[in-house]
Amino acid sequence: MENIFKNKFGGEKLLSIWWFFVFAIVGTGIVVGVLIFYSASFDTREKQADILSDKISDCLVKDGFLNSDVLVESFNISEKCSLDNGVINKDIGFYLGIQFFNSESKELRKTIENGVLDYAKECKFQEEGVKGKSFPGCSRKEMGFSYFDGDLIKTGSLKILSASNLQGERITNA
Amino acid sequence: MIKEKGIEVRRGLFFNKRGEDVVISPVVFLIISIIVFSALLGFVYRSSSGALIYEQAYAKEIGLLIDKAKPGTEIYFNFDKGYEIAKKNNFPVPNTIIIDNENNIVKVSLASGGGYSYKFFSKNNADKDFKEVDNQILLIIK
Repeated sequence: MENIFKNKFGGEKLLSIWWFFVFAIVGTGIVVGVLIFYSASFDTREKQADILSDKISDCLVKDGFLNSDVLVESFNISEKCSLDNGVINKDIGFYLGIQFFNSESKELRKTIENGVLDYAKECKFQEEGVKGKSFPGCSRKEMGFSYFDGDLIKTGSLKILSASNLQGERITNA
Repeated sequence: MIKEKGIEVRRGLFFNKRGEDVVISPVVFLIISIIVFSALLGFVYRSSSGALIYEQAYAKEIGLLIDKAKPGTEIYFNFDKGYEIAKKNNFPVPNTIIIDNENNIVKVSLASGGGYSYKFFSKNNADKDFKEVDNQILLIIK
């Protein structure tokens, strides 16, 4: 009887240890590729920095007018802008820098800085084209505003630089 | 080298190649191939629909929503994959999302053994309500 089960001469040397070796290489390649692909992280740092600077600009300037408390010495930005003091002021992955200028003289009137101060430099490096995996996501905003100086209405501008380097982390239940 | 009945017999990886004559039929070869590639396809399918990627995506999505939203906002967002994966893994739905307002952390778990945590910066407190019938989550920002 010459059929696939009885006559085995044609397929004698089809499968050897080398075929298992090929299976192992192909299998390992697919497994490693899939693991690398699905363990990739969604990078939301720039988005979070953008949300932070939006939140700050919304809080400091309303209807084109600067919040009257901002230029006061004791102004607490975390409290006024609903930012968690423990998150923004500690070195855990945020930076917030705000500069207030007079429009006429371009004079710097006030600076507010919180968080990891090195991020300001790292944001500048990125704008100059330097790339680094550990650099934070940055967002820069500039806007004009009006404010009362006694009875006079004056104009000014503010520059906001915010940065986030929070990636999130995988947790395991003990 | 070993002498058997006065004849020199060379044994070892390079001398004795008679092991290659072992016959495995094409049918066996076919069956093994099907098993190996089915296992690989199964692995790829499980990975692509698995919890790892969705835990991270949902944790970051919720964290950014809390950061962006103003107090008094109610946000409905689609959580159908979250419900589906949690049910598949027999993981209780109320434990899938934990919002720790004290430490500003969102934790999302879709299977037992772990999850993903993401930190938000907003001081606003957030609460959640599972709207399983609509495959949604209601986020309430206070």
